[in-house]
Amino acid sequence: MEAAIILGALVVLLGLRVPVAFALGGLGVILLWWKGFPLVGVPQRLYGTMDSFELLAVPMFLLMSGVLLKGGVGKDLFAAVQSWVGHWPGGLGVATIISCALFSAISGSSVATAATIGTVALPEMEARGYNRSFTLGMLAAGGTLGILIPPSIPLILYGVVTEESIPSLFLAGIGPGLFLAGLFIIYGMLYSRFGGGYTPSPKADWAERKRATLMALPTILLAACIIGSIYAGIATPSESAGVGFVLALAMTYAMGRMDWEKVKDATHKAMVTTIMIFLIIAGAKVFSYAITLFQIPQAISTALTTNISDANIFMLAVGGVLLLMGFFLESISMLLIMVPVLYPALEAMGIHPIWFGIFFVVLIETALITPPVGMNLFIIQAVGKAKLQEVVRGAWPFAIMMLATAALLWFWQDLALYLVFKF
Amino acid sequence: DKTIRITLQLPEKHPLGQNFNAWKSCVEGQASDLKVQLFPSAQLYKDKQVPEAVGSGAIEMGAASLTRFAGTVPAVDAIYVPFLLDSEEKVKKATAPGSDVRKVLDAAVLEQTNARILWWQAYGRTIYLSKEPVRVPDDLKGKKVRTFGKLLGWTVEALGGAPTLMSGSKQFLAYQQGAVDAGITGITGVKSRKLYEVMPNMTLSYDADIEFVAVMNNDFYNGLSDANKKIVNECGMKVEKELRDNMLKIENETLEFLKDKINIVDLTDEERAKWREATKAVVDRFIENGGETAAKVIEAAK
Amino acid sequence: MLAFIDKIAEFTGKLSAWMLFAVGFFVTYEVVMRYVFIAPTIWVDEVSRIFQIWATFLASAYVLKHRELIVIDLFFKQTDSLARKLVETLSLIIIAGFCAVAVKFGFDLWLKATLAGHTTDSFLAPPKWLTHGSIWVGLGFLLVQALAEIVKVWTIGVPELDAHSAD
Ligand code: NA
Ligand code: NA
Repeated sequence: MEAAIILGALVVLLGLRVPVAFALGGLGVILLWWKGFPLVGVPQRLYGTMDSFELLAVPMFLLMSGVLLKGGVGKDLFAAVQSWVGHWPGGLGVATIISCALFSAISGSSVATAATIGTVALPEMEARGYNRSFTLGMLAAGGTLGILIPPSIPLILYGVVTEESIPSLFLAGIGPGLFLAGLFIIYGMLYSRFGGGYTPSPKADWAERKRATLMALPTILLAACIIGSIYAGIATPSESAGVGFVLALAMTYAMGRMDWEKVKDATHKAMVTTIMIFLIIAGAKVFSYAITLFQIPQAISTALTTNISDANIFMLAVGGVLLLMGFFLESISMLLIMVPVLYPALEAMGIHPIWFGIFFVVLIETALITPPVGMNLFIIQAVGKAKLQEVVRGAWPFAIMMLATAALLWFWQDLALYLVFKF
Repeated sequence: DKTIRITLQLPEKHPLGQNFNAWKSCVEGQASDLKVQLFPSAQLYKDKQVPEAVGSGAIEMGAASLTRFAGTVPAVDAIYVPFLLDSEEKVKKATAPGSDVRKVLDAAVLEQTNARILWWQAYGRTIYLSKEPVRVPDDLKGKKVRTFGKLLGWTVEALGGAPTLMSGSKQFLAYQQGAVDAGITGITGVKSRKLYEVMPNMTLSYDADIEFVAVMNNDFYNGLSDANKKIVNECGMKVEKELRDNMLKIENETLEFLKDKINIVDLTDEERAKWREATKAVVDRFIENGGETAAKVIEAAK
Repeated sequence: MLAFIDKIAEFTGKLSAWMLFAVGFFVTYEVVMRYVFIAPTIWVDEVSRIFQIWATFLASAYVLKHRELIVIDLFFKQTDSLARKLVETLSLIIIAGFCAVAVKFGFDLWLKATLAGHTTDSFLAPPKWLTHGSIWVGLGFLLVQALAEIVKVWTIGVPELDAHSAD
């Protein structure tokens, strides 16, 4: 009952045009005050949220993307990928998802994936006349691959909380990650084929492909530097993003495509997008602090594990609850709060804990693109200067594909577990 | 009725999390008007925020590594002074309730942060994880080493390595991706954080002792009835003893578990003497930095 | 007075942008020092985080001034209606109230740590007055900006432009 009132209040505040960050943060403060919890926790929670080197990947990747965008380099990259797959139906959509999947192999975060690929791909797809909502939704969904295709910050946290093997979790994420990417590509092609509206790219000949690929070579090298520096252990994702930013500056300057005005503009835009994302994260952290102290998520999980004994019904109920919670909670809080309570029930239900980790992350991915609180929706909204409804309208088919994948995982567990046990 | 909320860094499954569950049962069994709620895995606060969160009363209780208090009481890092507590007896003596070391540190922490230490939690001794086997200080020369406190960083510098501060939860990825060549941690962490999957060698240097502390907001404590004060303290003493007595066993079981999963490097006496020699200057740096309190603690620990 | 408040927001916004810009060079320096010279710095990680914290809270007033905060744009779309003005005022009061709580308690914590001379527990050990000031200073500016925006709503009116199309 308490939970319903709180969620209702959040919906009302959002409907009254209270900015998402402050609807969450303000409601959090009111809840703390209502139950007499010390409000001195609020500034500490705010400080602790921003005091994170991992989050630095967000402004760094935004700065890098901004510079590449201003330098017109993103266009080169897209021209190259497009010369290979552009003549397919919805070719740019295919290129976008492939780029997201590639970038996911560098980044452990959905936020960074959506922001980076979004900044580059969105203007190109719009210029080609792709349906705006479809494009926005595809980018929001493509970004979520960042936490399923390894490395993945949520999978690391899951492994730490449950003491399950993190490399096994990583391996288990690959199959479903590629499966989802494939599903997105097929949907994108079908949508473009039958939804139409875009200007198809002509099939490029080999000379054109060679020319376009050569033009994109510096950018491909830059991407290789970023991926390479992470896998070679030279830098963490935040660091390689920072290095990528500096290299992007140097590269575009050397190509004669960068000037002081563009630098100023890119820096300023990266700041605005960063702050609008960070304020929401901070607000969400205050909100989740309050409902954690209220023990609302804990109560829901406990009710699940004590009232259900059939594994099928249990998974259905868990899926339903996670979907519901995913409407309102940001992903890391959802994982940290729910996993410790659900985990002990798994063995009794005969559910494989590695498999469950992947199932959980697929539902977290869905939560990232379901309104009203969906971090990737907000990012793509910010990147695309769009209205939330536009992004949501394009994103819901992808959310359904993710839910279908979660259901499929239950009946075809090898999709996740094959790589873990056969290699 | 009063509710005691506790913010924990580690998962509930970890021996230190279990230790809190034991305390909860003990307290709730004896005091009908006290309820205890655990919030594990840093759901509420990161470890470095625990001193302030508890001290300010944002939350009633918390647990954190003792070194997290170094910003307010630099002397707490005494337990990391290399080879100061180099035997089981010395650790037991220094960390025993009411020992001279604890009298000084517990009082300083209370005065500086308003967080009252109820009991200490043994976390075991430090070891080095590494890509290449490490036997003598020379093996660490020019290597990047993960540490989790300022003083351990000085130790690494003295050994010829380059220290990098990193929180416990980030070790796995850093080791896997090779962001550092080696790392200092406790034995139990190697198992619970699955670090053996990403680091091939473990050197039993045992150069320092790791302690966590369970702290309660002092105003909250003063608001408890005398009977309940007695209960929270006595339960603290009880679970502290259980964990301390158990820690050697837990460490040995962990070593047994790890022995076919990681190459364990045990040092000879001569090798350990080289470590001792190389890190001699750290104690002076510590006293210089930590002032009178630090000197007092070192004296008490000897 | 309003013009002065707006000026501060413009300034802090620019400052934050360049702080993030600088961090890009800090971390690049760190990677080069660590990988090429095997001499990791003790300051880049911490200074970068401090810059990030300050930038976030300092720039919040700028982001509010330019209406770049994310809003669910479903109802009350008519900017010149009384209902919209009331709704806008409510939002700004919630923002101001949130800030007031964070500023009040953030300041108390800051004052205590400052008087006691506390530092963080890192290698670099910067004083807490420097790190923890970010909350009450940054959100203090936001509090003032929110109040200024309330005045603007009832004098100038709700900004006509959809902020997200103002490029
Ligand atoms: Na990833
Ligand atoms: Na959601």
